[in-house]
Amino acid sequence: MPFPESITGRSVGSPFTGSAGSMAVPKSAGWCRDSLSAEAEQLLFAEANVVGISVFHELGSDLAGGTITETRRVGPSKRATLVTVTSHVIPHSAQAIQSPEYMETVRRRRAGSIAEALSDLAPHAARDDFAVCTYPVVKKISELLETLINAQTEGNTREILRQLRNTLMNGGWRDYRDAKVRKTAIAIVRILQEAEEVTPQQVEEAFDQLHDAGLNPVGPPIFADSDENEGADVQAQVSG
Amino acid sequence: MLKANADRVWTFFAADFEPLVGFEAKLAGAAEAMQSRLKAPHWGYAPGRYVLRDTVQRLLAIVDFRRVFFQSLGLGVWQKNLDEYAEVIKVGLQKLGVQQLKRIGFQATANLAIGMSHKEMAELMFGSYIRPARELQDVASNFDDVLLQLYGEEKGIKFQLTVAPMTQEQAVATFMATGNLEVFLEPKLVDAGVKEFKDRIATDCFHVSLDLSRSDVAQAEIPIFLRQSLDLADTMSAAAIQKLKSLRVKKG
Repeated sequence: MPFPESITGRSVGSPFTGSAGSMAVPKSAGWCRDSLSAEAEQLLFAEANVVGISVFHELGSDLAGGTITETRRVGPSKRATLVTVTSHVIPHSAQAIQSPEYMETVRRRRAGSIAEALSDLAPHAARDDFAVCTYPVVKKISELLETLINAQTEGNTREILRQLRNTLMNGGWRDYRDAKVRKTAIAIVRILQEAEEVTPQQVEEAFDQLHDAGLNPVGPPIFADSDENEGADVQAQVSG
Repeated sequence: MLKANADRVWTFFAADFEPLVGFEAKLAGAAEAMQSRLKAPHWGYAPGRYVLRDTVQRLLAIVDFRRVFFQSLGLGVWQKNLDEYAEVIKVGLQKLGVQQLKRIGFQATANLAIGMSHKEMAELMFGSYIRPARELQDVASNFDDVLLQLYGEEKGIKFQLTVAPMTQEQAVATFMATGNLEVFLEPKLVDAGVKEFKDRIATDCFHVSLDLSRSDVAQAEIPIFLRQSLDLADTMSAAAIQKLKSLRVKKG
């Protein structure tokens, strides 16, 4: 279908048509989309076929480069076809990369906060609703576990945090009324707060200390009827 | 920390004294005596100033009517030759007839790679050196970078400590803004010493600069001051990084 005369007859949007109007307008100028007036563009694409193409670039945690090639067929049409290509860059995975040194620092900082939360339990130890008071401790442990979930070098830290969290689960919080128990837990958290690197030996020692204090660092048995479904590092909602 | 990363450190030393009326008569003798001890193979003269250049050690010594000045690329030269350089300074000042100094200063600047990205270091500055970012939300909602200067006195020496996370571009720009870099090179067209130094520090890094000084001191105190400054720069820079990393700082 030819373009309406009303468009072709005009020298649309061309810089060559000033008030003098003496310069010839090149034929191609009228067809250059950039030079179309809004009115002309509206007419041209009013009933155009529209094809949307989205290209997603997800930056992997390994930061490896890659090429995405996608071929779409655009069928013949008497009218113009408007093709919109939208490129989406998803940096979430790449942003999650954190250096071991950074993760160590985050661990030391947050462990200090957990130790403070454990210390804060002391004045509330006799309360009936002591379980509520232990919630900040569980929350801080879970948050730190979540932060360290992708850290390549903080596996031992995660294991100690899981042990600590387990001691608070299934009614384990009651044991934290005892000052000696709190002292043991705080001593273990101080290791996370001060160590440059947490070693497997420290994991074993933490387990032994918690166990000797009468706590259960293992958590509920897997055959127990429990709603808690935990993956290797995934923090599920923790009940009191 | 700086001693272990000596090849990422650049230094300045200055001994300032009252301008001398008769400097022209004494300056050449002072420069000659200094060069004799320093064994610097290259030297230059600009009106009122001699420049002695040991381009192998990447060390400059400048003497004029009001200052004896040293500049180096790397801290190693000071670690190896501190006593010798103290003697060179002493000889120069004696020839100039200077006993009392208005100020002596030693500055060590380093771009230290500590295994973290600029973004990570910038984030950790909050909560370590300054309040957590969430507590500064009424100032602005997002913070990208931090530059911190602390002034004080430690072990009788005044200090100005500057710490900042730096991107590769910032690290290079900071170093390249240093004066006299071309004077370290000989022959200038082929010596790549400055480029090699620049390439070494061209990474995300933690910038630490310590400007240490004492005022109104006798010339004889320079060796002690230099030794103290080297130790203080080393321990304070280590403490600065430990602070960023939330490690317990062990003070000596």
